[in-house]
Amino acid sequence: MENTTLKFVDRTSMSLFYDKLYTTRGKRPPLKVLILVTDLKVGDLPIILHQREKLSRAYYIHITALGEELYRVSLRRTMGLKEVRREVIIDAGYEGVWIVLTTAESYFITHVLERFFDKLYPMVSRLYLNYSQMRLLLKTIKESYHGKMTPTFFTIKRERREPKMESLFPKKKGTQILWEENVDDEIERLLADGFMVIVDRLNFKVIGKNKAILLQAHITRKGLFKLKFGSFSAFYRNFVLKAMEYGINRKRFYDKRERVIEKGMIQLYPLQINYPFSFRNEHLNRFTRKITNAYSCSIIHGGNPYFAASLCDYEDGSSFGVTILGDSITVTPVTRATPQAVWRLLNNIQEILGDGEIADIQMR
Amino acid sequence: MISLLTLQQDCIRGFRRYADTVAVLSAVYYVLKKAPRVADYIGIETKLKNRYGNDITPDLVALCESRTKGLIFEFKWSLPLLEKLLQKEIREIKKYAVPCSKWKNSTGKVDYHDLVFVCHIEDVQRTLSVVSMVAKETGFDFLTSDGFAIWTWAISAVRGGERKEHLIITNAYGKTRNTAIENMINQPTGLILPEEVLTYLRSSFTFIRQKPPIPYTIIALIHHVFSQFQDPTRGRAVYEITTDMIYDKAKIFFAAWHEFDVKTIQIKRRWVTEALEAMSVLNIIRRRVEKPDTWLIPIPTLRTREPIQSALCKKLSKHQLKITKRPVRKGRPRTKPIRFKVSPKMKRIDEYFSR
Repeated sequence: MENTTLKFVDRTSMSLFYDKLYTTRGKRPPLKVLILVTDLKVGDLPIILHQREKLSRAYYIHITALGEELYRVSLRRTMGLKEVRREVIIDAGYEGVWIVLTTAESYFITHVLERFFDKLYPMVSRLYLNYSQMRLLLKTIKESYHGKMTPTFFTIKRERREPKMESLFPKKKGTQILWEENVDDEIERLLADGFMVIVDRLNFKVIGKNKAILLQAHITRKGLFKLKFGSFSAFYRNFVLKAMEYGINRKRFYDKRERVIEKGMIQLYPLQINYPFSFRNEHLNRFTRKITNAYSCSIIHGGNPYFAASLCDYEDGSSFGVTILGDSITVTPVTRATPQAVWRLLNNIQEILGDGEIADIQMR
Repeated sequence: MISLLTLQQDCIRGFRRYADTVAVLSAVYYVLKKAPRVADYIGIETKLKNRYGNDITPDLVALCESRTKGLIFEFKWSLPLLEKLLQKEIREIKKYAVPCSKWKNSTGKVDYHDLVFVCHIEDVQRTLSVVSMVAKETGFDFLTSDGFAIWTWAISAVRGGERKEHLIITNAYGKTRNTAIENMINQPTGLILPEEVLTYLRSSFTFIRQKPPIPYTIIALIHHVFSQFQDPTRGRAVYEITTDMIYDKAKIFFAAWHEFDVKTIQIKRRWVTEALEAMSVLNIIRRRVEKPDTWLIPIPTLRTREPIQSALCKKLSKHQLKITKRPVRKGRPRTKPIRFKVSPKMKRIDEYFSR
């Protein structure tokens, strides 16, 4: 299946091939679509790889231009004695975004493709979505298809908010796949049961007016989408491009939040993540333990349960002030604060403390 | 001998307390700025001349009642544990209590001024007992008269789901002659700062006039200054940077408290130099031997999986122990036997005496 990309000579041939493949019932790997936010050109990838010695030792890349900003990219990763090589299609026809398409197996996606682009951060950033953003995106998709959307299953990571109760109740945490249609109800039930919930992926289908399945697809919180059944052209137009637009809007929302001095006054543009529960010391300890993996973190108050810290993104150099009090987390971008760094930090926080609602706050 | 753990804990405590003192100074500044009826002018590090002709630079200066009355604030993030040293510290504040000139008004003089000494809640009991002792000495009666106050501050705990405010400044001793300020500070709850204001202040101001502990400056440089030199395309790399380049970036980031006032730039060059030298001693950065004031700095600097202040304080404490520890040899003390070798050409000592 990995050599299917060789058949593509342009956009139309790709579209026709995938249309035919995914509208017939049969056994085949789903089409994986990874949306990346970047201002780079695909042609720059070998140069960047060459600049980074460590990365160039593990990865090899070969690019073939197919025209109209469509590229066939051969990506190889050496892992000890093992080599994994597959081909992907990158659609760079939209400003500030790359759409990576492949039918390769999940192992390649997780260990080669995603890891390679993660290493290119901050030049290449993922499209991060929390549960409420996923819901918003799915609503838009549903409207585009003019059909009824039904989530078939969803995967969540859950952790009990009060670990002290573990001696009384059996420990239940970790990833859980729930085959429920009412995602909202299930999440509310889990929150009421004292869990922190992180929605990792959602599987859904869109059913048309004549009860025919129009789309069977999958969405993850890191911008990886899968087409299992349905017209590729419709999926691309109604799902991928809508997600891309949403991503560009989010990037704009996180942009220009750096601390600036205007007319002698310091201007800050903080963001807040609000939760339906109040944080306790255990959450703050967990947060401290986990956040230090990706950020240089200096903690001024680690408990009380008031938390105040300064964070610096190791890869990007952006720095932030983070305060946690009651049921909200305030993130104040300070130096540099690129949109991709703000976005990544908000996602990392939510992956540790559960999905919340992101809001813009006005400083006095 | 002090243990490594004690040194490390002291170091972390110093770091946190300095950060909080900055927040408190900026909080008082904010409160006065937002209440024009209380103060007509507020100045950070304004220079005054006292009666003895010495220049003094209090942390915060305010002018009230049409700039006829003065108010001086002195903030201490840490006070010595030794009573003698604390007494010395208290005696030193006399320089702020005597009449001063060069106030920011038309005459440069005020009818009188009050002095507010602000310290951490952990230091306040010791300070109060030392103040009562020093007040008995001649020339220190200002400590017991109106116009001298000690304020203290604490971060409030969250109770019953209330979460709007958390920094509380309270009066611990004495009072000022400013009724408006007294009304504010003597509320049953003390002076409360809203959380969002404190968030703003924490991200806006980083230093006070008092020299910060070295780890504090190092962390400020790592988080806010070195990261500005980082080129994302290079990944982790070693950058050759001069002290001037670092100081120039720091000046922009830790800008003056007042517009067009270069004297109040928060960070001092000597603090930057000292921090860079400490980092070089700890092998976090390297000094370029052939070029003066040039450093080889790996960015991102000090990658660690624990809070950076813990990692840094551990390194500093280890180094401190290393230099204070004397090499002690095990076993009984040995003396090297002295062996005299007398060559045939040497004269005997009694020959000298016989002359």
